Amino acid sequence: ALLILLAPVFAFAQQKISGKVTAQEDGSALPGVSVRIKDSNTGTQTDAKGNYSITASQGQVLVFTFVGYTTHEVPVTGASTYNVSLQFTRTALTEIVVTGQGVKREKRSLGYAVATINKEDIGDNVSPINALTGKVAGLNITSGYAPGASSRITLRGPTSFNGNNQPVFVIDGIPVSNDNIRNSDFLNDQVDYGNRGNDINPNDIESITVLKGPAAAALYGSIASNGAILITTKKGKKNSPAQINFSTGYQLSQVLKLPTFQNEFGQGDLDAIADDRRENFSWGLPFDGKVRPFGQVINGKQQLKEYKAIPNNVKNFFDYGQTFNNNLTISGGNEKSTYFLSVGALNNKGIIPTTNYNKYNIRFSGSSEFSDKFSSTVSVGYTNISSQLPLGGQTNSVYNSIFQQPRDMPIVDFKDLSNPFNGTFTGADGTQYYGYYGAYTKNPYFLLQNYKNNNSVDRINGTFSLSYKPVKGLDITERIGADVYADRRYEKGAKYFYKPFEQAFYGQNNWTDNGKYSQDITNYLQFNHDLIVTYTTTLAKDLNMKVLGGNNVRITTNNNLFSATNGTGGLIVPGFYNLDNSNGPINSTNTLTQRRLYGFYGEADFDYKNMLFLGFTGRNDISSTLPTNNNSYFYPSVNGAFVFSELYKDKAFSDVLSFGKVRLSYAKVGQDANPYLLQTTYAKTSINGDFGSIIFPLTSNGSTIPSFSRGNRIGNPNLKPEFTSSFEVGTELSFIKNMINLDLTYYNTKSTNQIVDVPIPNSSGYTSIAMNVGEMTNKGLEIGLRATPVNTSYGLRIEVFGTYNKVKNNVVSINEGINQIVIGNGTTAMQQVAAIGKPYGTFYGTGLEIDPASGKVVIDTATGMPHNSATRFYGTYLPDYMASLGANISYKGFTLKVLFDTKQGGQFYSNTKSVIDFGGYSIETAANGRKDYVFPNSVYDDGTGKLVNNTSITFHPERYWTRIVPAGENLIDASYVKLREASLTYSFAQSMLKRTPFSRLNVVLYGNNLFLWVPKSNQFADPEINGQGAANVQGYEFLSNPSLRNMGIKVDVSF
Amino acid sequence: KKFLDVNTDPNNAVDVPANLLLPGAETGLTYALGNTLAINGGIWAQYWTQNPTSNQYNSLDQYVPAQGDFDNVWLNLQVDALENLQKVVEKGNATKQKEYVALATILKVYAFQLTTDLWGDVPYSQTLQGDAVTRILFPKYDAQSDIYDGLVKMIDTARNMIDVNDAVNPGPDDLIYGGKMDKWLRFANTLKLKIGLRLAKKDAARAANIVKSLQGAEFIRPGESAMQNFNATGGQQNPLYGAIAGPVLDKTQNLVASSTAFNFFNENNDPRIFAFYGPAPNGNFSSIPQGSFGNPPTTIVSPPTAITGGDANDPQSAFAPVRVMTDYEANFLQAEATVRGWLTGTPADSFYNRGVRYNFAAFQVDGYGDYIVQDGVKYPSTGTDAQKLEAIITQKWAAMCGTQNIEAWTEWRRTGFPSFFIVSQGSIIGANRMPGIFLYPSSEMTRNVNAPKTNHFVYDKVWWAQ
Repeated sequence: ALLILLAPVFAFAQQKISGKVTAQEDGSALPGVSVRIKDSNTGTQTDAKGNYSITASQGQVLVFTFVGYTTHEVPVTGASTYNVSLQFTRTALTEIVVTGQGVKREKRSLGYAVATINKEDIGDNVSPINALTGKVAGLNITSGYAPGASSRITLRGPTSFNGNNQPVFVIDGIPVSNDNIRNSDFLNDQVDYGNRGNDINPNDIESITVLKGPAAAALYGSIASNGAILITTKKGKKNSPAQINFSTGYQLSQVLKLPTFQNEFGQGDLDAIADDRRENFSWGLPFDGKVRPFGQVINGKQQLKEYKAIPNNVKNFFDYGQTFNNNLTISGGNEKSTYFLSVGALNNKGIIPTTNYNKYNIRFSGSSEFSDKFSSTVSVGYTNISSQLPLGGQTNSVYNSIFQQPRDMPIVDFKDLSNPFNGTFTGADGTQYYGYYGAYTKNPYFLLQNYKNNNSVDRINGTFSLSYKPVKGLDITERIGADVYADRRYEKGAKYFYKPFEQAFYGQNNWTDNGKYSQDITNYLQFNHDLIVTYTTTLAKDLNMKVLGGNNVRITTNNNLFSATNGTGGLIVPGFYNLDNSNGPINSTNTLTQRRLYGFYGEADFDYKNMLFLGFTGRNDISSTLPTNNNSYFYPSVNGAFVFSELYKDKAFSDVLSFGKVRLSYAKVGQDANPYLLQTTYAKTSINGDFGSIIFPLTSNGSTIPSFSRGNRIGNPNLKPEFTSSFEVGTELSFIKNMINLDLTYYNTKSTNQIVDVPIPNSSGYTSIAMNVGEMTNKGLEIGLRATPVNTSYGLRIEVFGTYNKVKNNVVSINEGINQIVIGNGTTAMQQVAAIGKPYGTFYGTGLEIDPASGKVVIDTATGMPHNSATRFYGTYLPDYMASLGANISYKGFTLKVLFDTKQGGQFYSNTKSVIDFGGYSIETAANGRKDYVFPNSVYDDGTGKLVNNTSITFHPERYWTRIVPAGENLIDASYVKLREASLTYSFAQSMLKRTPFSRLNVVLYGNNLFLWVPKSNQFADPEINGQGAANVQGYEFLSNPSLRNMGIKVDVSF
Repeated sequence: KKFLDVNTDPNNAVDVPANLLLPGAETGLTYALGNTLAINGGIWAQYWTQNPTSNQYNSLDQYVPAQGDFDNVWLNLQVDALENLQKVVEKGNATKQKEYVALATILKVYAFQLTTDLWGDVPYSQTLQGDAVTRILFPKYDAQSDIYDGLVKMIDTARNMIDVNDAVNPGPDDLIYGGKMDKWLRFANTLKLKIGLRLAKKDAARAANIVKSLQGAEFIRPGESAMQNFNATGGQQNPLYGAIAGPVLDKTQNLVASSTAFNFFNENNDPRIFAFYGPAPNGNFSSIPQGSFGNPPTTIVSPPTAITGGDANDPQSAFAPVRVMTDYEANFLQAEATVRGWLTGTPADSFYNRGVRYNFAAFQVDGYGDYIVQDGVKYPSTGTDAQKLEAIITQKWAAMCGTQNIEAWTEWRRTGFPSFFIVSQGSIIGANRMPGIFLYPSSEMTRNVNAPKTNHFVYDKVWWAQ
């Protein structure tokens, strides 16, 4: 019999309920949130201000859902207002990512690894590149963290011997320049002018998507063979009244790591004049605290000071860096259009007196729908940079000067250059003198006053797109964009000649420079056009297809004009910085580089039951830089994904493994050559030695003789495109209702037929030849983990995340006859190479001679000193692995974020070590009280050719550190752990803001690059600093700008 | 098609004629001689030593140069000089400008000899063919003995090609002789004499054969030294001074008087001491023992004079010419050939005296007459051949002080004269070892599969010195 089911009758009164929905992370209003009454068909959406109203009865439950946020349920209890803040979430189920050519896809459908960093995670870093550190498995970023400093970014290891190894930067679908143009002479005039990828204002970024390898980047073609960094800028929201956001920040910076100094011995040279007051050496007598005169005797006077260590004399030289960061944005929209305008100002005073960096950004974006079928978007950014930057390196560098001061020298006391004991003055007879104590180094404040490096950059990039949707499923989009900048660099060196006042003792050690003035002006243009047609359709039940076809045209023009006053002649009139003031012919080069490319590409994606996905891409490029018969090349990719959790989504097991996917991809990316590699040419003659050069024309017997010389590179009309292929397999797993998310990838990348300017023996008559050579592989494992172990109803939420990334790079082959290629610029004593059978970036130079049998150092029986070895291989700068670990903890209005990251393994060359060992400032030079001792772990030849353990033959430390120590001894372990980021945010609750004009108010205390832990052997420098910026040569700390610890406060309000 | 047609290099020339290549090619050679070779030679021929107040050339006095230290000089010789001379030869042949071919061939011989004398076995027969139709990227290394055979043939080819009456010849673009082919012929003869004598110790028969073929030939005439002038304009200065005065070294006086040479001049009352060494800033003339830069400086040491290009504080250094071969060198060579009996006609003492006299004249030093008659200076007419050779080579060494440093060091390696060289006090390569050869440059060791697997030791000897 049928049981009659009775429906209960509840007589609750219906009531009108309203409220506001905001985002928990920043308190901003969330429009478009779905508000539903549970188990009913009633529902509404929040408006542009995040407000909603709905009619519900007590006991019913309101369900708030919004893509990208956790679903929130609120029982109706009788109150009439329910304000809800939604927690941002990452879930593999719904995440939308931007892929090649700006196509938005559900992440679940992709057969390759991508990572997206949302604005919430960019943090308060002034560099958008550095903001990615530790957040994406497979990313390797190196930077010094000063505003405007270079950041090198690589994905999944280097693929090219001496070409570009960095990913392409794309802003709103348009590739933009990330150039890092440096002086070739990093030894002497090293100025870090930064890289263009850091120009964008981080405040304008909505999200950054990292396409890690060729698979992800196949549609962009050549330029994305090392992956792509896709930056999506913020946009206005539809149906939103004007929203005004203002943030202001103040940041303090200091040097993260200074060398460890000895504090036992002061100025002098025990092997010569023990208390030599001219010396930069700290090889003098032990400190005794007694008052002694020091420096020159000027007009019968001499300075006095206590003979004792000043432990912080170097540290005290540096100021606190100060950065003001102000940003204003206005955005909004109506039903058909949106707008967004942002203005940013970054004003920095550097840690080195007189240096600064200022950046101004303006960005406008808008969109409009003209009709149901036509719509368009525009996004334009302008950047202006003006800066005054310090010199690094070995000649007139501030670092060289401050690191070469005896341990008893009060460096900050030398600031007043009008004091004759610090600066310069004119003698009674008109002679120009310096009165500074040091005969062998100059006063750092004098250098700051006399050497200036100015940079100014104006840059505009933007994109305009027009879309037409004639019928359902079909979309035709035309997008054009350009990136244009002028980068102007002005370097000034003063002309002066000062004799030491006390010439009898200070001798020939004059302060002299002929001066210089140079202009280095680059005008860059990149124009890009894409016409993209997409068609989406359902082929059969549960089977969807999306096809895309496109055409790309890209034009890049780079015009550089470098002009400098005569290299040796310098300036004529001191203090007049103009090319007209050149003492001798101006050195000038103009370089025009043009490349053009057009390509056709296509993509087809199939989706079966939202479970099985298959994608194909293909692209054919035709490039101006390759020989006509070889300039067209095609490259395909295929990827597939299987969301196997779909198979059991209704089973209980889905609570344990709530999402599971495996993916597989294979891709190939072709690449063209650099321009002008096909011919051997002739250039104006200039002949260079270790120092100095001859530059034609030459005046000889009264007439001017011009000269040209054969170009050093053999051109190759038979070049072919090069290819990088990549195989990738991975899985994405979510456990326990997405509480734990795991992303695992293994990949194998192979670069072949690389177009390399191969260095060849000069006995061929040339130094290099352009060729297709070699093979290099990268095998890597990437793990990304994100878990939310605590997520309570009372508001406490703890999220932890981490990455692990191991890449094994191997140079498999180069070319017959060539075993290694020097990468970029090293020094003659220590080079960096790609050598067969070794990882990229291996160091190659001389070190101490080691007995292969015992592994001990071979010493000279007579002197106890080690012998120098023949040139040999050391380790690479590439780390063994990288990892990061972070946590986001939020409770009520508070959010605490911390992020640690580490690189383990790898080596770097520290010139700071070389300098401070040489001068006797480092702690290792004070070992054994500087008395002769047995060289640690050494052996010697007992006279019969047998090497025996040394326990008795001692060496003289000063002689070793000042004369013997070879380059290999300056290589140190580059491992580190850093507290990369930490921040504490407090968002004021809506209730507290009622009486204020603000709809939102956040206060953030933050820091980045905060603490550094290194192995004991590294008493010298942060392994992340590099004298060659973002170039392929890494791990050369050559008295470069030190890295900074930054701490700041930011207030962020909306009206 | 048009759209992509932007790959013609707008920054360099596609082709240039021989007369535009010659000046740069010659300067590649003189730059090597005047820069690295002047420094290495100056220290190893014990004219100069490292100043104790600075450090730039410690490793040379320590006898531990790095192989990377030889990269630039190798590049100057192989690419700046030899490859461009090769292009002059090719273009001269193509346009029937045979004096260009002859001149460039002579300088190629000079540069090749320099290379093999410094590094021993070097690429020769397969060199300079990087852009040939069948290109050779990795030239093999030839035995020095074979290279010398080749050089003799090559210099004879060039000598026979010269037509002093040819209307088509180089002009001011020849920075050494202004295109005077008669001078080049005498230069070529002298060069062949030098080549022959270099083998005198190792293979006297071969040497004699080469030298005897020159009987009756004319050698470099007085006042006709082969040299290239430089001037005070930045980028056109003497290569040694240009380096010292540049923005990196900033006029630091690294090179100062070595007691080895300084005392020789002093003890022989040789007025040339003031031509080759200047007063220290305190007005004194003084020197320090070779390689004693590590000892406490007791005095300010004399620098080389501007005539050598090596005085950091005298802008006149910019004008110092680089000497390729000199009239006095030609006479010392003839003196030696005569003592050995391979050239006849003029007695050896005439050549010896002329050698010294022309050297005094070249540097405008008075007092030749008083100097040459002293015991210990005058030609040992009654001595043994060995004593005569010692006198000749020692005087040649004195004559080359500061201006032909590398040749003086090479002649010491061949003959052991002067006999009073000391082991540098700064040496860290073990007792009784002295430099005998250059290390192959890093570029060859790492790029040329045909290069020897291991580098020389700096105290090894080249074949003709063994």
